[in-house]
Amino acid sequence: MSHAPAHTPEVFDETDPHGQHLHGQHESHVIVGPFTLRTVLIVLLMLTALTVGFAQAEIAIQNWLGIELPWWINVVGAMSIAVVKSLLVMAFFMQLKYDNPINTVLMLFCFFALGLFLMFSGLDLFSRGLVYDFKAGPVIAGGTGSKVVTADGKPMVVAAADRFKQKIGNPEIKEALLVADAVEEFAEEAAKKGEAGEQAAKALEEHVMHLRDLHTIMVHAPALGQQGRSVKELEAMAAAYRGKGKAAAADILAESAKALGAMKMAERGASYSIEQEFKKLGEAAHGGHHAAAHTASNTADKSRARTGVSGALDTEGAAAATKHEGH
Amino acid sequence: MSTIPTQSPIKALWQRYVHAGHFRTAAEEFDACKFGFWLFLSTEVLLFGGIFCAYFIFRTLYPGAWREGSHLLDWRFGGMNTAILLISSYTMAASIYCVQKAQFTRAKINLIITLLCGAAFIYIKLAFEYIPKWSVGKRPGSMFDYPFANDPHLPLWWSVYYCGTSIHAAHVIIGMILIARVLYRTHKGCYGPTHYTMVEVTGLYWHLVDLIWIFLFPLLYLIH
Amino acid sequence: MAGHTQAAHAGHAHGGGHGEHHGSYLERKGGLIHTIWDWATTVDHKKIGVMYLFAILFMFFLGGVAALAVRFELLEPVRVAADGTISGQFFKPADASSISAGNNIYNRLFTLHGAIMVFMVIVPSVPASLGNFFLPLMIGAKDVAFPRLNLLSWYVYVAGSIFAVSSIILGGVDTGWTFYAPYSTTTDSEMNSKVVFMVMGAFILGFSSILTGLNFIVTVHKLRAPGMGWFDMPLFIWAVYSSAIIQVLATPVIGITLLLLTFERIFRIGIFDPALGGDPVLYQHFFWFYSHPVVYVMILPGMGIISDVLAVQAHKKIFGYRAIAFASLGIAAVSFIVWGHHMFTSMSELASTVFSALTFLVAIPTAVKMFNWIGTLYKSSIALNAPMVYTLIFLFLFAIGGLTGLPLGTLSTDLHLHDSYFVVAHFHYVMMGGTIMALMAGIHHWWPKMFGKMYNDKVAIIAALIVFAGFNLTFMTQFLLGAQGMPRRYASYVDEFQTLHRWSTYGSWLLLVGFLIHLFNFLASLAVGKKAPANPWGGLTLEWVADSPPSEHNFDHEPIVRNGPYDFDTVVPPHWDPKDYPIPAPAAGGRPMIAHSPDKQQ
Repeated sequence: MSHAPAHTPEVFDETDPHGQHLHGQHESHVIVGPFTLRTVLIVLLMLTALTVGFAQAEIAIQNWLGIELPWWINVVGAMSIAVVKSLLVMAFFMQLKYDNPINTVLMLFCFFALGLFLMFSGLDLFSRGLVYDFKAGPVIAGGTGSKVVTADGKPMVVAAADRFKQKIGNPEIKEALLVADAVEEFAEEAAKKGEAGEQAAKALEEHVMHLRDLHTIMVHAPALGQQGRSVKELEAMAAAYRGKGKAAAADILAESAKALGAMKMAERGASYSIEQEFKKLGEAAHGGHHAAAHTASNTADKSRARTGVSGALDTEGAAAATKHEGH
Repeated sequence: MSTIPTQSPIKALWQRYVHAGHFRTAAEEFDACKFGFWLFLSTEVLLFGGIFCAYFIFRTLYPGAWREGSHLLDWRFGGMNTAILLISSYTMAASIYCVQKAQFTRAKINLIITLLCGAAFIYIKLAFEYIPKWSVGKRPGSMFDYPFANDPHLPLWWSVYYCGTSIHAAHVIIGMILIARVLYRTHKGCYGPTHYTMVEVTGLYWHLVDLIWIFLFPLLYLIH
Repeated sequence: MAGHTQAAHAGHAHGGGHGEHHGSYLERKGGLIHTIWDWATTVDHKKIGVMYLFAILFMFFLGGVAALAVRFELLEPVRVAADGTISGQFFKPADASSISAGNNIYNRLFTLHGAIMVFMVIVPSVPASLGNFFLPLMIGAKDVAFPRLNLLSWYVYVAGSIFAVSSIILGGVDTGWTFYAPYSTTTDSEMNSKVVFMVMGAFILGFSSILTGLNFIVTVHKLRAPGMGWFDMPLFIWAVYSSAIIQVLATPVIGITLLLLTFERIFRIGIFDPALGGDPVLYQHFFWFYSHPVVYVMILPGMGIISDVLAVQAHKKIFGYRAIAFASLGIAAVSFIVWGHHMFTSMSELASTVFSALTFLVAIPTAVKMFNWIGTLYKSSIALNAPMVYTLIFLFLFAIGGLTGLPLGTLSTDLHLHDSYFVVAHFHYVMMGGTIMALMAGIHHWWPKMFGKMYNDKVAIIAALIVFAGFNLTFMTQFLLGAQGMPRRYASYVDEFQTLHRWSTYGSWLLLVGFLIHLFNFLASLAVGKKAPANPWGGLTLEWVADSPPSEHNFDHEPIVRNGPYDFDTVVPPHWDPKDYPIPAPAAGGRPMIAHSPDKQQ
């Protein structure tokens, strides 16, 4: 019976008939000046740089100094910067600092609910093996999948790799390599024909090397994908090429290795580089020999080029070369 | 009556604005709209909460897949997008300031920059992230076809990545539509120092989009 | 504003009534087409509330038909004779040669019943219909804070319902209303659209729920009449406010859950599918993080109705106003940390123990409410009319529903009762015995206010008693069936269960009869009912200040609140006329209403 029997007129304030005071209303029109906004923006951008730098530094320490940092340093670092950034955005850009406090309370409730959601879901999913071991870890039927499988029961990552191997073995890419052989041949010839020829030859040689190296990389790629092996692998390949006197190829490989090292993220670097190479290979397979033939057709020895290319195969590139000859 | 020349006898739309009848004052209406919008924003936070929860659970269950996955993303694109969204958040806030100060041309310029930033975000997302990744087989779940993966749970990482970023991108697009509307209405003179509720709440929405990305960026690109 | 001073002199919650007079909100504006257009584009919370009420009652009818069909199938167990003939299967395709074809239909029927009743009936039932109509009235506002959003939420509701129900046309869904993955992502694999339509329907309905909840929270915060502090609000408002908080904070999670489920279904992204590395238990966490709190969205407004109806019909100041108000908030708070009790058999032992312990917390605020209601009834002036009968039915059924929750929340007993008819009976006692009975109490209590017509009270009471009998017959038997081991969601059963199943089915027919009598009673009231006075029950809250039916702007003048909502001992009810409604004398020793005490009579 805590309710007051009847409200005496003191509760109802005649000077405030709309109960503005009771309703906890504030002056709503807050003006946040441009100086504040700009300062906040600069701080936010700096924090973004900081969080990226922090992650990079952490990787650098692990890769170059060989110190294994505990996993939570990375997480706590990145997330605390994110929290500071979000607080800045909410306080100044979203004006919570100046606004009716009810909005702040509301957001706190919301984050609290989110916290409960994460906490209790985690409580279950991370304590499965507490009493019975068989409940922990991968359970296939009705539980967490041990392997992520395709319809025929093969793990998806393996299936994807298999499909790719098939693709490498496919005639189209083999064709590109054959073109590379042919182009290399006439590039050597072109080198003997004066300065223009030499230039063209150089360009062609690089192209050829590129195609071959790409093929090599593709074949080795699954192995390269593993951490720590990629840079070494590339360097070894570069050395091998240098030993064979193929300077251009060695340079490319050495550069790749350097790029990977420079990224200091062996895994990320390798995958990134491979992805790029993969893309280029795709281009080479479809249009690369076309470009090569184009270059060849503009060198001094056009007929040699024609014989070289179209003699080797009857490809789209050869057709293009023939077409160029006509001009 | 007066010999002093007035600027214009016709009042701008924002000066003629009358608040809805069931509110007592325009300030009360503004306050109510803002409170309502904050409620809506809290639902948005919890909507993304599902994605964050899935991320949190699977990251803990399959740390290997998450490490491998985050290395397959390039922080430069993520970082660039973060900067773009932060700048657009600033221009959005600045446009509210300009409307409050009746600097309509500046307000419109700021809104246009915000829109362009949004478009740049989507462009970077599509051209440098989604399309190249999708085309080499980095796809979610059953569509996964990336040959160089090691961890068997990598498809799951891509599921969380695509779900999180695509729902976020959808919010960016919705935000852009709202901003375009505000831009048009500002041009028409609907908003001014005494009435700018829609500018304010659109700004709040845009900042929320920024806020979500502030968390998605380190979670997806930096934490490994 | 002249109204203020007038009301100030009136000395109670009174908006005057001396000022200009507006027409009733029900007044027709021109021809039929014009009237329909007027209703379709209205932003008046009363019209939207009425449209919600009719939409919800229609869905209740659809869900009820599905329920009757389910019960009908269970009249007999399905038997296969030695020669292969199937008996006892009522719903099956014409060319069926196996029992599974008929079982398939059964699965679709109970899914339809569950999905309709949960997403389209019980969740929006009280807040969207009675809440929409009475929340602004009870706090003295002209409308909800965002009227256009309110209309939008109705259209979203209709769109979502159409989406969900259209999955029947495509052949129905057999997932159960919980859409547990990975079954829901793989069943009916030849036609994605069935499950997707149902799931997207529920997703869209979530938006409607969010918009309503958001609107109510802002309205309660910003539009209370002058003089109405937080603890001057009627308890119905407290309850609706608490449930609105849950709606806003929990519904987005079902949004993302159903969105991910749809992605899962269409693209097989694998978040919930173990074959793709996902985790089906994670789906259950996602789902119940919404669906448990939403159980309180369903029951809290019902409890609010009971608090209000009980105090008014017993003509006594409610016992422990603040305790009930805080209990509403307490239930809302606790609702977010008990969802795991739906998953005792799929969770880890640690989580189950924690959730089981937390689940018992719910009993505290619920029991506070129960005892306070009973305390209010003690020595009060009870008018035994239809709203009060339904309130008493609620108290009886909800007590059973609440108490049978305890064995389900206890780990060891739940292992036996999990997924049995005991669970089915429990949540029907809470959802139907609680929410629907409260809704019926509320509709009867506020019917005169909503439509300006009285209904036949005797017929309503008879119908209520039939519903009460039918309900207990239907579901009490299911407690017994569940305890004996009858699992839920089965189209057939062993012969030993037939007697109880039969009685349960007979009970469902009795329920149908009861509700049909109600329907005819309401239609008769609309057609030939006596005109209702402004304050037929002698209530003190602001909705009784308005006309019956209220005018378009609710109040002629903004009302000023000077008394609490249940101060029957100190305030004369506004517009109350003893000729219309004589208030019964209090029980021996009870304190009379001021209207009855000769020294204070005005």
